[in-house]
Amino acid sequence: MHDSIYTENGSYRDRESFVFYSQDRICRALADRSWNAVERAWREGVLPALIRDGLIVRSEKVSESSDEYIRLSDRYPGWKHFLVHENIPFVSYPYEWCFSMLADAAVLHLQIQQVLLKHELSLKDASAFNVQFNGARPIFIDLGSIEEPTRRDVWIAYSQFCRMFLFPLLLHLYAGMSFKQVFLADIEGPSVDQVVQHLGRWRVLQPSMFLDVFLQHVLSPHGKKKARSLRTELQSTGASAEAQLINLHRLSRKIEGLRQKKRISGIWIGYEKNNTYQTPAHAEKETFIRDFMGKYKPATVLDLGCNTGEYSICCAQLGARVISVDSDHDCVEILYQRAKRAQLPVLPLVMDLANPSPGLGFMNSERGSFLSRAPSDAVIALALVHHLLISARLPVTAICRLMESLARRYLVIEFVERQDEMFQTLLALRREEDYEEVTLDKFIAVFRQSFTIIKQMPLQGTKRHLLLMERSTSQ
Amino acid sequence: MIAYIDPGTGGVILQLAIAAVVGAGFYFRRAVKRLVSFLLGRSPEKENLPPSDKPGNQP
Repeated sequence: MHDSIYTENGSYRDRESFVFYSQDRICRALADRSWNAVERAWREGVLPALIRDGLIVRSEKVSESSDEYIRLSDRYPGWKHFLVHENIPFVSYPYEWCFSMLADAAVLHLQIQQVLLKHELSLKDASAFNVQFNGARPIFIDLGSIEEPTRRDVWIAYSQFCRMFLFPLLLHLYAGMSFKQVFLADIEGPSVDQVVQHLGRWRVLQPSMFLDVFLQHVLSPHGKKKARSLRTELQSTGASAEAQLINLHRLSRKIEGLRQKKRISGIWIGYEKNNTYQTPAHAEKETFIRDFMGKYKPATVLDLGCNTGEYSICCAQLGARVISVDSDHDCVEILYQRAKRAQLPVLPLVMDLANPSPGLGFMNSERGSFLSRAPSDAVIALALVHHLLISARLPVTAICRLMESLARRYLVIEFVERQDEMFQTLLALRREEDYEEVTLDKFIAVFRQSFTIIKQMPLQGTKRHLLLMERSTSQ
Repeated sequence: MIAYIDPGTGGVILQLAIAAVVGAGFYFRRAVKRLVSFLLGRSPEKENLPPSDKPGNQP
């Protein structure tokens, strides 16, 4: 029989807490010391308040008198405290987020740390992977991070906070680096020395980077020599939290400052008003999507090439939980802001469909690949095919394979003929004969091998067609 | 308080330095307050008492 309790591959760093799955529920085991801190946070009301405000994931203790407790302690001998967490609908990673998402995850950490510190508790780490998004709302998921610190003036996770949040934000803003470049290269985030190399010694002297980048960089070699005396220093007790609170406040202000500096690239400003689809065809597409949603009611929708998310928002308003991906960072940024304002269950992610997130970390399975996480009831791919065909050079058969691996049941796809204006623009400097085979009939013939065409509709006044399909062999 | 993650030696020294500066700031501020109080001929302790410990409204 398949073991219904199994340990999460990405949860091995902390020896006092780990995550496992029991009957598809997300659970956590805690060692005594870790539990003592969590229990006190619970008892003093600080944890219930953070959970109630939606900052920390909802969690319950597995009662020691329950059958489940016996099952769990049989499976993990020596562990005495177990929690069950609320399931997060979709797991995403910082290398898929936009600027504001990482900034929000950073601020969330600082907020929680400030609250905990007032109760003489602290977060022992500050990993961006400890935050997940429920729609466009960030939630802290690692209760095992809570500890009772010895010193309250020093945040032991400060350097990790810089590597996971502050440095990637700075590199994005000042060196144009994507979070994918930053985190795929090093899952722990860039080191302070790398930041100095990327931005240059002179640049990190400016006031906004002086403390966190320049001084940390300069002090590191000195600190390494003095590591033993630092250890003694860190074990001393009695310091007040005042200095750390000032530092946390300073970091919050810094993140807000960076947020103000982030500019959306020009082409997207006013896009909603001026885009080429504000035509009868645009209205037709929306009606098509509304009809589809009304009739088939998919619970989860994956919007590929979501742009600024008009159709994502439409699907979310009609009751679906939506994952929206686009390779353009600023589109995702705009959609995140919209979803956040409207509090819609839309999770926008930066993703290149021809090169989606790979499996990362220990055993390549600590962080799952995008394709292992993404399959949804319905996939929507509007105004996307020509980009995949030309920019990504995917043949129609490859596009079909991609859709097969993502759509559990339905696919709404827009076919763009060669004569389409946008198709021609993309093709301008490329060999046109490579695309002579791309016709609606041949496109349909390829997709028919794994999908059944339910509905087909030409879009008025355009060289485009909408197709609704269903998987022939539903999984 | 020893971390299971790499606490970053530079980061630790930086924070100890911030703590020292903040501590010195407090010390300095208190010293100045005392000096001012002394010069004005007031008792410095009263100002530092938490509100609940303050003597009532009696003169």
